[in-house]
Amino acid sequence: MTDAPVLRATGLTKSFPLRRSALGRVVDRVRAVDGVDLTVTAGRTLGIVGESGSGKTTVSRLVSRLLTVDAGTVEVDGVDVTAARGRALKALRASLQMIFQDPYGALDPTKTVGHAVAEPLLVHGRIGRRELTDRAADLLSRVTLDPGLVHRYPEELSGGQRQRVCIARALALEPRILVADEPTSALDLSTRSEILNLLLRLQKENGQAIVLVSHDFATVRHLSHRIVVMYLGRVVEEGPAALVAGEPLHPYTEALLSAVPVADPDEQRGRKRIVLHGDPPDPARPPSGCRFRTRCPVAMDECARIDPPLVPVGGERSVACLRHPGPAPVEPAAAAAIRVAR
Amino acid sequence: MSAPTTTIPAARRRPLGAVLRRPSSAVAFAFLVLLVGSAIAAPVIAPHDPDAQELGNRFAGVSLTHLAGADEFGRDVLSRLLYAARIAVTAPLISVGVAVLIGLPTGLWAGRRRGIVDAVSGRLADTLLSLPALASALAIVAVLGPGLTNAMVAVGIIFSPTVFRVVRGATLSVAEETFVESATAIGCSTRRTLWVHILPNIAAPLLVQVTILMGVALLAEASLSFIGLGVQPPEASWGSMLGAAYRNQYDAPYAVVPPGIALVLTVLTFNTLGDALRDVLAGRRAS
Repeated sequence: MTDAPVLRATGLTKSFPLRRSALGRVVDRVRAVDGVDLTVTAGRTLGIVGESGSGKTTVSRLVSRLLTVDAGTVEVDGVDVTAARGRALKALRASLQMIFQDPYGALDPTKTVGHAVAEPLLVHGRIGRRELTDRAADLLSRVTLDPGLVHRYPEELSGGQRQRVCIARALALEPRILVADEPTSALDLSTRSEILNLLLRLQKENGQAIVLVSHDFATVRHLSHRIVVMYLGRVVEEGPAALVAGEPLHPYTEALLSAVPVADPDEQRGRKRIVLHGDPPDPARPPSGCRFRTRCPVAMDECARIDPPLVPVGGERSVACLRHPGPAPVEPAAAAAIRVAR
Repeated sequence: MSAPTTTIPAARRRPLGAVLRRPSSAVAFAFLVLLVGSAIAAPVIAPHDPDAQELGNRFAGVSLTHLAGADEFGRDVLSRLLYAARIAVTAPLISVGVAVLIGLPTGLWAGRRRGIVDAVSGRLADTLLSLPALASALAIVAVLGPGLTNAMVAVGIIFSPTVFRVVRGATLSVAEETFVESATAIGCSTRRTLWVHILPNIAAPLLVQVTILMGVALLAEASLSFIGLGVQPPEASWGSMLGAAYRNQYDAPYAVVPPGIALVLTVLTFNTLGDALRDVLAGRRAS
């Protein structure tokens, strides 16, 4: 595996209108994603974790060009695809595929499983209508589904089977990148591991880069090589999975991890659980300074004034917290001046 | 989990079967088959030439030679009814065809694109809907000239905002579904997404609307023919036969009965089938 990034996003920003005036002008907006950088290398998995409302789903839609960015760039294989249209966009679709959260809604109920699976090939002109059934059966067996299902309709399938169909559909074009938005959260526990193991196996076979979006830290920790932790539209911590999950630096990451139960009951009972109080603040009106300070158990006075930037702290990881200023700390006064000016 | 997977597919893929299991709609469907059958077979089964005049037989009552009597020119009423069935079938098809041709693409486009396309076409549809239907049909016929095709095209134009609204509304809700986003994600063009993924999923409400509009269109045809703007003599439609009967009501008060019954039964048929379709399809969408 080379370390060349297949997907690189810089400064992703997206806001959604909240209210419009009588004339249709946007008077209030929420910044769902605010300056997010991501890098994904071939054959690797990048996990994005965060609570609901942290902007992780929006990030997945932005990098897969299902939403248009307000600011920032998305590069696939070094090519800027932020504004790709027409043929260039279609080429991007072939190299980046998406797996959706809800396998029940992600399949057209009026189309057979075979059509769902082979449609990408049809759309990209790689097969004719006559080869559809054969290729579909082929793809189904790759996700360990009975090829005989080609003539069935999605409603005749279980949730796990449907998600396999969605994965087969996403794999049809042999994409370099798979973006999976909560691929298992709509499934029951026994099916979850099947789907996750399938993704792992396919990644080993085909060397896809995977962006795995989930609110479930346990899932992300087991599958990812690197982890990005998001809070209120920002990245608060980023680094190798073992480090982020093993020795979290940001208090938010710590809190998320303490919510993941441990398999040993004695150890679980003895653990100190960090409970975050209150709901995340209204993303339309984030608090001054650090966005996490209103729920942070170790907040300091400076946190209300200084918005900590994401800084490298060594070991290929970065964190956005005043308690971890990084190897070359900026003069606090100067940093404060810069941040207050924003 | 197992209940919807066993019962709903049947209705989903065989809505017609589910409709026909109701006695009322089975009768309605049988009548529709009879109507279409007699429209096609009119030249074979009609006892007389529908336009052959026998002036000695004016307003003849029911007899073995004239099973439904004769009209003001001594023409056989039964034969004219049978030939008029052809118009009862084709005229609504023209109107509904025109309405779908205009309303379906615009409705799909507006529902998917939203924004300015939606706003403009929506206001246009509202404007058309705010005009009294028959009065605008009269105005359009005045421009195009009288005649069945022109009249039915006019009615179709009047109907198009109704189709537009149904299609747009259904498209709006279907466009929110993940499979539409998934279609974009694999690289489907907007046109492919609309025709291959959205259209089949809005077919149910569209089909219901079309069936009900068939009945309304038939009534519109009858109204326009009644006042002489639809079919032109000597051709017969139930509406023009009613018109003739109305003008001769002192000589033959019973002449309104045959075309009247035919008209009422046919409109009821379309409405019954439309209602049944709506119930069956509404039940299946509930999953």
